[in-house]
Amino acid sequence: MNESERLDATFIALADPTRRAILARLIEGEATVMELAEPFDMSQPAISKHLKMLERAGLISRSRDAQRRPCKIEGAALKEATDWLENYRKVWEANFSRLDDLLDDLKAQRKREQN
Amino acid sequence: MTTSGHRLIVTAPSETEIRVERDFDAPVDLVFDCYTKPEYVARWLTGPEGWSFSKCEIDLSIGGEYRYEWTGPDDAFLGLTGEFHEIDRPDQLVSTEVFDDEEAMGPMLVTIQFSALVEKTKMTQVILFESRAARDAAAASGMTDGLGMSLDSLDRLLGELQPR
Repeated sequence: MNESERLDATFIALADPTRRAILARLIEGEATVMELAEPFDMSQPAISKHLKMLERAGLISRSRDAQRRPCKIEGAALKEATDWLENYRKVWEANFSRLDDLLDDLKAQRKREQN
Repeated sequence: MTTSGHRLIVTAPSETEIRVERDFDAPVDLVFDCYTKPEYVARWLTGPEGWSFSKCEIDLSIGGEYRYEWTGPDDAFLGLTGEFHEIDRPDQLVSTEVFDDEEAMGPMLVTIQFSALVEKTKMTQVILFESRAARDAAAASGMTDGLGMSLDSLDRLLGELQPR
């Protein structure tokens, strides 16, 4: 996957509430599929499907050797996604902050013209 | 430097739309002019730091085109062409726009509404990506779908991930 494909996989993974809840749980520490399935009233295969999407996006990893194959969160992919959002917001914040200034100038100008 | 403190609200009403909302402390006609007069647009719609307009032309008429070109650090270039479909001063603007080098992103249908509130104006901008473009983009660069969903879902995720 190239960078934008990976980012896209990340966003698709994040778009689902169950997967976000799984991530929120994994922030507290590693967990097995069975532990993750518990609060969701979902079958293990259904949870496994969500985990595959999270793994594909690089948001989690699963230990290969251990029998329990616990899942853990991978901070780097999450940070990449949030950085990107942050950049998008920053650009628009900067645009609109300049627009605020321009509007102040124009209001002052209009006031002078009215007097 | 103004410190208006107005919040920028970005949401994704559907998989093909982005909605941006922001209040401004100015009468509605002034805000409308800032979106439609090239001498004003050139002063604020400049994007990230280090970028500026090299061309900003607007033919404010139905079917009229606008053309924005920006240059950035290391000779970076970004061009956008738009066409007006509805002009209802000072309430609404509807146009289509497309980036030169972002075929995956465009064309986009952009609807901007300006509502007069007490001593301020609420601006609501909805960007609708063509479903086909969105689909193609998902296959090609992946940015279109990602953009629409991410803004909303990341906001929610970040909320959920706050330490309890």
